[in-house]
Amino acid sequence: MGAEPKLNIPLHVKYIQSLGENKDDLTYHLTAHLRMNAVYWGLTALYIMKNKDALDREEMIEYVMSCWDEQAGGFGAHPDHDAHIHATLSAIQILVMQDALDRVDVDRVTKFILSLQQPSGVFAGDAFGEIDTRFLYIAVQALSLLGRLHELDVEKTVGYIQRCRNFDGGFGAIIGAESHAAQVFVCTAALAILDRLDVIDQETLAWWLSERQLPNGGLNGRPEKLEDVCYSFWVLSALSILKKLNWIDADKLIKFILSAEDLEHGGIADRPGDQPDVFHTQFGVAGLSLLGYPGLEDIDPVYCLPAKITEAKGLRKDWEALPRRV
Amino acid sequence: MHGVKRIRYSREALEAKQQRDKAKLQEYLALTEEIISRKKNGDYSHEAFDLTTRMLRVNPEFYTVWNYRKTILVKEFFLKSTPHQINDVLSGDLDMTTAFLKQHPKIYAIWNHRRWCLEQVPEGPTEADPNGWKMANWKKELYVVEKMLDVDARNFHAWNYRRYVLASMPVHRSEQSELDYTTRKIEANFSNFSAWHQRSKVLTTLWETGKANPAQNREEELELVRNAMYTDPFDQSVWIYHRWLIGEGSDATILQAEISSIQELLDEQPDSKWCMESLVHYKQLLLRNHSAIIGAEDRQVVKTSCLDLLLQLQHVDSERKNRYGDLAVRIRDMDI
Amino acid sequence: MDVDVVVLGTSLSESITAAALSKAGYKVAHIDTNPYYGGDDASLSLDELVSWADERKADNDASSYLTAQRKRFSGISYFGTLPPQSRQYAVSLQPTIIPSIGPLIDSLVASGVSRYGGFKLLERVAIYDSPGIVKPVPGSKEDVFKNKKLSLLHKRRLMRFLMFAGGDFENKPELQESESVPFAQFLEQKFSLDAEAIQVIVYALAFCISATDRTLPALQRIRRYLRSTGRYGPSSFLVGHYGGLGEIAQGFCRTSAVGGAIYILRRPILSIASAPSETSSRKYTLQLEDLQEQLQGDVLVGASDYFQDDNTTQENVVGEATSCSLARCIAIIDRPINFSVSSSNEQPSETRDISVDEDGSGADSLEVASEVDTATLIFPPSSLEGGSSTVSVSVLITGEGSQSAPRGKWILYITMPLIDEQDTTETAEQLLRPYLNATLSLGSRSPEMSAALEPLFTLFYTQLTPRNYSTPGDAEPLSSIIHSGSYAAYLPEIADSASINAEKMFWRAVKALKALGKYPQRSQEGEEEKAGEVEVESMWPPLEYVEDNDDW
Repeated sequence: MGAEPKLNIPLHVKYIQSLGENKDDLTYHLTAHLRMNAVYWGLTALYIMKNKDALDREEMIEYVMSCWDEQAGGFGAHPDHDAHIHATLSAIQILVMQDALDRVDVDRVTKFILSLQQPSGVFAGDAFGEIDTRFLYIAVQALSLLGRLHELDVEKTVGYIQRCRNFDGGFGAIIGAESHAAQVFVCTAALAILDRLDVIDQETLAWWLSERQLPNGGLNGRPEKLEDVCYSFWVLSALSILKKLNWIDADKLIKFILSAEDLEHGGIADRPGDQPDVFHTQFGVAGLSLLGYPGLEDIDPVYCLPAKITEAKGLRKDWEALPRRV
Repeated sequence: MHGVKRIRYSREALEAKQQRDKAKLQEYLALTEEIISRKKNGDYSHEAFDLTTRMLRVNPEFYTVWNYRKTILVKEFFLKSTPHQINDVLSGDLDMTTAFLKQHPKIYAIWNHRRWCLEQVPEGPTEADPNGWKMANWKKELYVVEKMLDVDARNFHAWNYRRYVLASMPVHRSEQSELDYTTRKIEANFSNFSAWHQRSKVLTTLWETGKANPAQNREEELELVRNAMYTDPFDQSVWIYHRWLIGEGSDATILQAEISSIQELLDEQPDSKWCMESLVHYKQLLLRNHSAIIGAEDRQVVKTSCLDLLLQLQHVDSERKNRYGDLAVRIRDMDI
Repeated sequence: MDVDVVVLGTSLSESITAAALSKAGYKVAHIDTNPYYGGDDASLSLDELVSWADERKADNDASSYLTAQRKRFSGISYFGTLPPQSRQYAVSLQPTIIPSIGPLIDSLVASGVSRYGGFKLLERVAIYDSPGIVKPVPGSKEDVFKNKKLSLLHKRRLMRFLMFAGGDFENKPELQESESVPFAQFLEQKFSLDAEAIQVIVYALAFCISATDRTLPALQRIRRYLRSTGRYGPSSFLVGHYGGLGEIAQGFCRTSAVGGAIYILRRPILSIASAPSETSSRKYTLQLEDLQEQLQGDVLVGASDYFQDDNTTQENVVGEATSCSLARCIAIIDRPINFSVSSSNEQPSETRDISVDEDGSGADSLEVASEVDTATLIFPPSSLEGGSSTVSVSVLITGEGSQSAPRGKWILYITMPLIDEQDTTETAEQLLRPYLNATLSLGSRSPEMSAALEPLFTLFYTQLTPRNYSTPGDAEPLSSIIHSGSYAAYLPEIADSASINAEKMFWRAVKALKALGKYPQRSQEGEEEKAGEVEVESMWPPLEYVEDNDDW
């Protein structure tokens, strides 16, 4: 990489560590509904940057368990918040990474997740019924991590994804919706977990995904939209699952992601000059990992978890990232 | 933090802001605590309802509070109210969330609450007109969603919601009027792929239900797209939609006509990546589906021209050069 | 009365200068002989307009200012009778359209004056085609896309030019050694455009005055107009409410009054003497009619018509080199103008099924009619029989939408630049009648009124530019008398050139005052009476910090 900018790992680690120390800051409390996800993003980013132990394990596990919604049988985003499928997956992912899945009442969580499947095959986020292929993917991954995939009606689930497919090869949030890179990721990854990649028009989808790269190297989520660091992961994970990661210019994308680093306070933003956050930090780092950026752990694009973890659980699917550079 | 610029503040400004924020923080935490404790105690009172209003105005992403609000309505208010009162309170929530959307057009929880409200609208105002309230609300909803799309024509929440509203209205609007809506959106800005996408869905429905003639539509669509291509050959929305119109390329006449039209555009605009890329794709379809029509000699010519174009593309569009390399290998190996 | 600067005349450039000097902390007196604000840029009611015309037509004894004005506004004739509600009209002596990006909008925002006034977006720009018919001006990607008349190939070429003109073209190969060639020639040679497209670009996108206009400035104008689209709406241009520039000038006057400037209107100036009086150490002493007290100031900034002596050639005059004399027509009509394109091209949009709730909100999107309220029509050279073969003539139409006329009435402003010697021998009426008639041919013919549209009231006159002593480049002589010169002649450049002139006058005044050891009395932060030599750092001091509202 020569004199190219480098990922400032120590600074980003410090940034992630600092996020839990902002409790006097109003913004911290206004984002409580994302706290469980934020912990997952932070931990995953640290893991990929080989700094897994930068946050206290016991404290984290206790926090996760304090978000358990006894009434619903799932996890909320924060203590006293209602159970939601998204927070529930993040909780499971955190516990898997911390090797503490034994703390979970697997039967109850499985029941909670399965209760959210709709007659159409899609999943709702919670009891109040917002539906989205994101929630379908979350259910599939959570059941897979819990070893309960056999309890899922696979045909019905795949059937819904199939009906979300558009002529451009991509997938939308619901039937009829426009293709969007984040929804392409969730549908592709769900199909990968369910070993049903045959549902995808791979040639067309890989074309559509490769066209997400803009002249500045960044990726957008839909045609004629602006680039954003988080798409580095959505687009790249889908391309890795389709084994077409070389269809975009990796060097240019690496440069773009690094240009969005905040080299003063740490963290990565959606694009250069913007305010960083843990979400874009995680997806920027995950994107760099898939691109073979040196010094990082492999990330599993299907589960968005460290590949070591999914391999240890025997869950690794057939995907290809770019070889790790040195 | 999408699109929030990093700003440098002076130390004084930061301190002043921290002071203000401290007061806000106290208020916010007290409000959160009160709501959570009322929720735990099963308090479904009017006061509790008003507290959720206060909270959601400050933090419309607090999904637990939205849930609590709905629970109060379902478990208490709906049971004790006339249909008229129920309709009024739901209209109130719709008005409130309209105001929220103006500020936060992309928050899932707000769109979601509207959907829930609309589904709760009771029958009325009279037995003779059981759909009156519903129809009025759905119509208003379509108006709101159009205003949202006027502000941001790519907001996918709004498009998804639009499709949902159109499907839910007791009296359906014609597909033709939805097609006209996409025409207006495309005329206003043809980079708007969301509108082209919607067009592909509407036309599919029209064809599947026999309400329109696919052959005639396709011709008109190709003309529309050609105008867009010539106006801006660098806009990918148009080319992606064109690919849908051609599909598998089963009609050799259309395929050949489009190939020569794109070739003319390429002659005028020799650096157009999309002309080259599309020519390769459509020529490939020609070879794959109609090799009998074009004859052995021309097949080699077509093949060679694809390989030439791919070579040029590797330079013109270097981000995707590996894709073009892969395609070239496949075309070279094509058995024709 | 003792001030730092006396500003003579309240035209836009003078008013901006006065406001900036006053806000900077100088003591300013602002004088206008006229009973209204705005000077040559004023917005007048119809009866004020008639008085304005009568005063300049008459040959009775007059103040030196009025004498100078009579030399500059000649050949005045008017027809018809004043319609009722004549006070509900705001007629501009300086009709213009204002690009959404540029010096004037910048000054309005930076000075805070923007809060005093409103604007209407210009609805359409069209080119005259034939009686009753106009040609659309495809000035954007969407216009080109929708246009049914352009061939595919010409769409491509026109768009290629628009992309070029909207970008950073200064170092592009197309422009090398072509910066000064006539613009039309450049378009033909470098973009292979046909005559029709060239006409559109030269006269309706660049607003060139004649075929001799040079390439680089024309391209720079187009770029600014292209970049102006979308700032406030789909059009690049704004039209000021209540007559435009006169109203804006008044907004600046209000701001300078708030900053402490003294205002004296309708007082002819009897004398300007350069010898200091006994009671003051200021450089100049002014005697105003019916005002006992003399006015003393160190620097004079003002319209040339206020300075009768001709020995000012050595002085600072701030003005545009591209200005010229103008033949003008103002007409009041009571039926709308239609911008109908010939039936062979653009169809009216498809029948629209608009979802609106019962009260009809959202009905504005139903407007497909070709009637215009606020619009511009361009007559390129040789486009009209009996018209000019060398210059382009513009028509600005304003109505209720810009609050300049009561409902159902419109004002037409026809402006012809006079760059030919022979033009000046004809009267404004002779020159402009054909254009007026052609414009009226676009008027609606309602079924019960099949007669052609006739104006209720029409005024013609010729306006000579103020004396223009172009001072070479940066070598500004230091002087205590600064003349405000003329504005650019291009329809969309007038307001910005007023603003540019004002900025130059402001800095020259600051420099002249500094040379006399005079500094603003207040610092730019607004702290009271901070003594010492405060340097003026920017034309507009920062506005007070406004905290954005959140939901608490």
